[in-house]
Amino acid sequence: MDFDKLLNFWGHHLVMAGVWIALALSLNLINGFTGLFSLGHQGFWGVGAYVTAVVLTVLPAEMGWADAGMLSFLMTFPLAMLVAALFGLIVGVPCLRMRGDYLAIATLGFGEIFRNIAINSEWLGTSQGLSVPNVFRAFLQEQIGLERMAARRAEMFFYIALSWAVALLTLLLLRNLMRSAHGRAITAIRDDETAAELLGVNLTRYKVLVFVLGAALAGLAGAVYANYQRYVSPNQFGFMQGVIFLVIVVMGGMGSFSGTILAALLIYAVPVFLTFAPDTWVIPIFYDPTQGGVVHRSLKDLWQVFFSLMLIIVVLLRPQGLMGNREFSLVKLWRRLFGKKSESASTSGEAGA
Amino acid sequence: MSAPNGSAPVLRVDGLDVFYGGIQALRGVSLDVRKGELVTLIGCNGAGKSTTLKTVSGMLKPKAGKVVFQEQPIEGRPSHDIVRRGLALCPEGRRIFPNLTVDENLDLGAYIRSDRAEIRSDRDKMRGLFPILAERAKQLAGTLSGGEQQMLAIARALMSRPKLLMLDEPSLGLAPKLVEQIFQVLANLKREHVTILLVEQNARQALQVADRGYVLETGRIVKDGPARALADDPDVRKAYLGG
Repeated sequence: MDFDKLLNFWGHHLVMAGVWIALALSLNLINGFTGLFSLGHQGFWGVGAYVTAVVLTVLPAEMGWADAGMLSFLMTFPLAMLVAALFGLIVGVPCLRMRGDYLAIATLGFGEIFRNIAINSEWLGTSQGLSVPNVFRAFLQEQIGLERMAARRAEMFFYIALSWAVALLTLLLLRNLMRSAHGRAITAIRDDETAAELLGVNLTRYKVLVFVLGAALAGLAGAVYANYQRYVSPNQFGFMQGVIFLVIVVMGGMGSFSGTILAALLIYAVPVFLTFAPDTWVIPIFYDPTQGGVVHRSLKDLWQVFFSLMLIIVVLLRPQGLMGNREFSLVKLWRRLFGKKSESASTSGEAGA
Repeated sequence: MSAPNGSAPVLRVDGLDVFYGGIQALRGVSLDVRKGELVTLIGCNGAGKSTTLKTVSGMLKPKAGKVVFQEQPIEGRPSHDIVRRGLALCPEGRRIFPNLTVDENLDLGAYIRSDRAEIRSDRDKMRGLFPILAERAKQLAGTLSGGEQQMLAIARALMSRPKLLMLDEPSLGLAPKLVEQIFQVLANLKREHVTILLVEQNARQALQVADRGYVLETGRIVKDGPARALADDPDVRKAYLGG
């Protein structure tokens, strides 16, 4: 296979995996580390994506500006974060002042309201969606002077780097947050709200902070996604997409960064690798005499079955998620594999406790 | 610090009415605690002891009445604000963080403070006061026994350097030997001039360690006075001390 085909295929999946990791990490901050329950992460992701489309497509057309340039392109990222954060604030403040699961219902509502507004708004492209101009490619060809093929390759490498950089930025930001005194307050809220408040932790302030930060990071991932995909439409940000992110968080472990990354990669990669299954790999699905007896389906079409199967296995065998609330660490792994008996005994003792 | 003469009470509760929905839990409860005192609030299940502490600490809002802490009205303020003013509640059922280590629990106790060196020295002080916490420093708090968890809960509350420490049923659910230990701790704290408001069902031991006491019955204060006098009172003896 030639290089460009490989790059197109694997490049695309690498970009998307990075976006998923970033989204799952920020959702884990809200649902896993803080113990809130958001069902609207796909909505904030969508807000970020639509902001990008509006800045690069709708605004120039409506206002009669020149075509969007590099400056607009760069502005989409902070703007997407800002607007998503704003929506996070609007949804979060009324719900997070109360105890209980109001947030789940409100965020579920928010995701659907956002989608329906997009479907019913002419200026947001209705259900057709909006296309996003390829500002970065134009920049590479016109300003840098790359020829078409080279620009295409450079663009793909750029988006791979960008999406993984955003995932890394999300990881570092959240890890540092959780290691700070704020992180300890957040953990305290998750473990026991009442006890946390009795120690002086301002519950509402921290919950809103976490929720808005999570929304902003989802918005950032949305800007990366929209710029890369060059197309946004309401059904990309449906409820089921949000459920997949939630499943990643639960499967990886509520409160583990490495678990989230592992689960995101796993859940993203399984359907991708299933597409390589030969057509002769079929499994019997059901019995229907009108179709000539037992009906078989190719493994390719069955990724949802694997998805459910993985979830069932994890929930049965590791209800706390792949990593629980622990983190993968090379140092610990080294000690466990090669350390002295007494040392490995003490680490496993800690882990079991 | 603001009342060096000790004449103004650290905490003054005046005519507190508290409702759970339509049910009145407190009816005009008034009490005060002076600097350095150990005051106990005794009564049966459902008399309103915990309700009183919850209202003072801001977890419940009173319908009527005043809570004055260090000459500042605090009724209706949020809990996290009240903690910052120097009023700590060690809640019923301990409520330690089971998934954090003993040390992390103590550090969270000092959440409202930022003086790192002082926090460290206070932690050492807690380890002196409760040697078990030094032994178990790196252990998850959920693995401690009930009595040890109670020690941790008290130490954690002390880490905020409260001007008044309120304890809600610290002996609840502990074996008699551990109850003995907890009251020994309270006696030690009193010797260190920590001001304490203690809620207890174990009236006999509470009155032994306290300076003064209040008796709460169905949401009303029915008796108050020096702890020794209460312990000798025939009604109190009959109702709470088993004759």
